[in-house]
Amino acid sequence: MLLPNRLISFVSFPGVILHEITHRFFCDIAAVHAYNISSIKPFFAMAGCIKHESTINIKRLFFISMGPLIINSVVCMLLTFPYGTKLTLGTDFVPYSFEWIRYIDYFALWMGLSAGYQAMPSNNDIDNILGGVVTEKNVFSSVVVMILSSLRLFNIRFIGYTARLIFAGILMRLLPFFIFGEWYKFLVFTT
Amino acid sequence: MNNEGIESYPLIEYVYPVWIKAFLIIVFLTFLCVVTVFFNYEFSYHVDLSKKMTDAEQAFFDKEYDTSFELYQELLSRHSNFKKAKIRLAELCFIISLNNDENYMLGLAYLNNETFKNEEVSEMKSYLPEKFKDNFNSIFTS
Repeated sequence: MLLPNRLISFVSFPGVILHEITHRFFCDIAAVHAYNISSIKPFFAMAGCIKHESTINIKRLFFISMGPLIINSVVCMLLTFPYGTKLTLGTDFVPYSFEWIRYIDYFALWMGLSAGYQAMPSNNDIDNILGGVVTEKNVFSSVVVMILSSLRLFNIRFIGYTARLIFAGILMRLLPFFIFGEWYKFLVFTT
Repeated sequence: MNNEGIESYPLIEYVYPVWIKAFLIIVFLTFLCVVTVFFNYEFSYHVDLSKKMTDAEQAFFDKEYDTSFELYQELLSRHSNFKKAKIRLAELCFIISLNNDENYMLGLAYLNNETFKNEEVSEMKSYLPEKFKDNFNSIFTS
């Protein structure tokens, strides 16, 4: 029987690929050597991974490990923007003008939600940063440790699947909410 | 991520395999395509529709029932699957029905072939005159 985690990784493989590419990209920006990247391994427990050299620089560690959270989230918001806009305006029941628009929209929705689903850092990513932050004893590092530790929720079996889906859903609604939310309706619809 | 493999050669910076570049191009083109199509073919219609929905809803809550009725009628004629319009039109019929059976039946006609959640049924019942509540309950059991 195919385990849910592997099946979900297979279905959301664009997000997995983007996640690993982002790690590699931030390694390049941070001038940290990357030795190997495996962007897609369907049906494996770890769908993708990258090996890179160690660094003690917290900023570099942060961006290498958290890069996917930033980039995948942005890609999710952009690709799901049209559908999210329809949901925000309350007009998602309207049929598409042409049938081919529906296929493009659903394809973009799938890619966007996959990116959003795979945005969260893995436990390895979190451990990498915590290893550097824990050595610094101040209020800021304590707050960072708390926030990063809470992200482990997204990697717990079953609870994590739901949490990630909810996160992707929130990303889908976020940009349209800020652009076409209540203030837009107040400003545009009442004038 | 792991920190092993020191004996391996590092990957060349900013040099990515062809298939990764192709993947990124596909992602970018998908975004470009879906946003261009949306803003060219659909956006203005959705905004206009949303504005009409807001106006109709505002008129309903401002007790401008005739205006609200006209607007929801227009919305329903454009989109026969617009459930919210059907609910509001039924409620408007119930409000103006008082003890008029004809208006009550007209309101029920708007609700044909639809399924409703408990909250929606409760909301519609709140606009019903007392006379029709038993009949409504028998049709829409919660």
